[in-house]
Amino acid sequence: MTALLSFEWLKLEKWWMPRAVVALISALTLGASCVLGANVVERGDLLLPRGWLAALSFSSIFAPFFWPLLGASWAGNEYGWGTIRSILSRRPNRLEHALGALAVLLAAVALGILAVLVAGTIAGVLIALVSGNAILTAGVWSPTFVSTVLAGFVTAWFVSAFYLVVSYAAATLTRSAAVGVGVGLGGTLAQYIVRSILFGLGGHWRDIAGYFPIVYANSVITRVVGPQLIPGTALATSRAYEPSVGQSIEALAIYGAICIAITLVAVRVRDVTA
Amino acid sequence: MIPTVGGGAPGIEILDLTKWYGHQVAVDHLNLTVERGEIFGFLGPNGAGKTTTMRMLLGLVRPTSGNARILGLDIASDLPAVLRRTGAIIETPTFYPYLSGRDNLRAMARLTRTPYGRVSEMLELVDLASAASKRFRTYSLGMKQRLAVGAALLHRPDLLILDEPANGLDPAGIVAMRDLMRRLKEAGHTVLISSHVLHEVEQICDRIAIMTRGRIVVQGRVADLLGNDDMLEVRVERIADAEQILRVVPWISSLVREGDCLVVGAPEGRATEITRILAENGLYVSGVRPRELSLEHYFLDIVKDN
Repeated sequence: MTALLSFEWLKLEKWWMPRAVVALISALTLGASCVLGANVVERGDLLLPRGWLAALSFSSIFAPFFWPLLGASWAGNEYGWGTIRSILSRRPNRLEHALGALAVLLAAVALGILAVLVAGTIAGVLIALVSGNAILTAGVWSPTFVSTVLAGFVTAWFVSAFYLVVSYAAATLTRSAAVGVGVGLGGTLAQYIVRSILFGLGGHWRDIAGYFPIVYANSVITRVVGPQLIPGTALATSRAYEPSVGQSIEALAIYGAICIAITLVAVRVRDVTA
Repeated sequence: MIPTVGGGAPGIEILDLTKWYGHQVAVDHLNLTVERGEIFGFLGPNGAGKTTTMRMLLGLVRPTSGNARILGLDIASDLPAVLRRTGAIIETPTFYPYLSGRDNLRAMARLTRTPYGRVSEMLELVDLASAASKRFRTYSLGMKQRLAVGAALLHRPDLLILDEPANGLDPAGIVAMRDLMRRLKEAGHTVLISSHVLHEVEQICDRIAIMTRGRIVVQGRVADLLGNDDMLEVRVERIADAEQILRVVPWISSLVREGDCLVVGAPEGRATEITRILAENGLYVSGVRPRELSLEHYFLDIVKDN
């Protein structure tokens, strides 16, 4: 397995796309932090150290628009370029290959979120300097705050990983990067639209709308980091009907596990004709 | 430097291998043995089932029925061990377009736990050392093909499965490929090669099999297949008169005029008699020689008949 991971890592570190995805999410986090930091009410959440929690929130918000690009391209290009046969004619364990590739991508997501934290740090310092505040807000540090940052990091990673896994699975199943990206991005967009319609219809339709993956993915980061942000701010506010952290984690884990299971079954049984 | 390989079980044993895609049979109860240390040509028109067979040998496509053994190892149960000892090119060379030639080989080296030192060796062997830093996407088809050969040999395989390795090579590249095949053979490697460059196949292969519609229709030593048709080419002036005279000779099985010579259906031992018969009728032969069928002619005849 280490040989396979090492192989996947070499490919990853030389490819422009992971760097581009991380750079875009980081830049958007920096921009969103600065824009929100211009608002006096919201500014407290953007100053350090709360700015890290805000950055983790932004990384979750931007996740559905960027990580699917990486997941789908990674899986789909192996079929598009035909390199899947170069791999499997050397190392025939298909499950090992699919899981190894996914493991390296998930490690890249973790590094990406670290980069977002750096962007949040830069934004926090800039906002403090421009607004004349202290770079580090006093009285925020506590063991609870530190554990919230850690939990926020894991949650942001989990949400980003979920979106990546869905598109990875779609691209693998269809052997196409384009379809994977379409399912990853289009799926999220479709969920927003359908959910709004069902929510508007009310009754049991509204209940069904509550089980869409985006409901869990959107609310979980706010539930995790919100208690350590300033009450009443945009990033701290959860709605009462939104699922709890436990429900969201369970639901995303189930949806993600279903995607991975279908992918593994498909790669195991089908012929490599690429 | 290509290391020498030891003997043992046959290089490849294909046992009743069959592959159906839906209602269409791609490979139909195929049986074939490639001996250790030989270069075996696997020929057939497009869609004959060659690539599907090669994919099955490499575990990329699962057989519907039947099995195969490579170097004595069962592909169904020992595939990882089989692939550790097998190098392959299947159809077009496939590499990561954004990686350089060197990085592509490094990636393959990581995958097969091959020391990096071997990468430079292979780049030298396939004459890509000077282009090693260029991205794969900028390579010409010939360079891509050579890189694929380097990748196939990277982990020092005992057996090579090469699907159209000469595709895209220029004449110098084809000669270099032929030279490489000969060196591999001298070192005891077994090579299963599919190619449409029949002139090359004729020169480098010990044995061939011709496949059409999923079945092998003929197989054997190249020399035996091409040399057993007992035809003589007779050059003579007044060719129409000669044709008339020879047509009544009872032991001549066939007579065809081809350009400025007659193709006579008779064994080589009868050449003197043919010369004598014509001379007795005032016709003087300027040349008689056994007709050497090219593999290309032979292949086209076989494919047409099937």
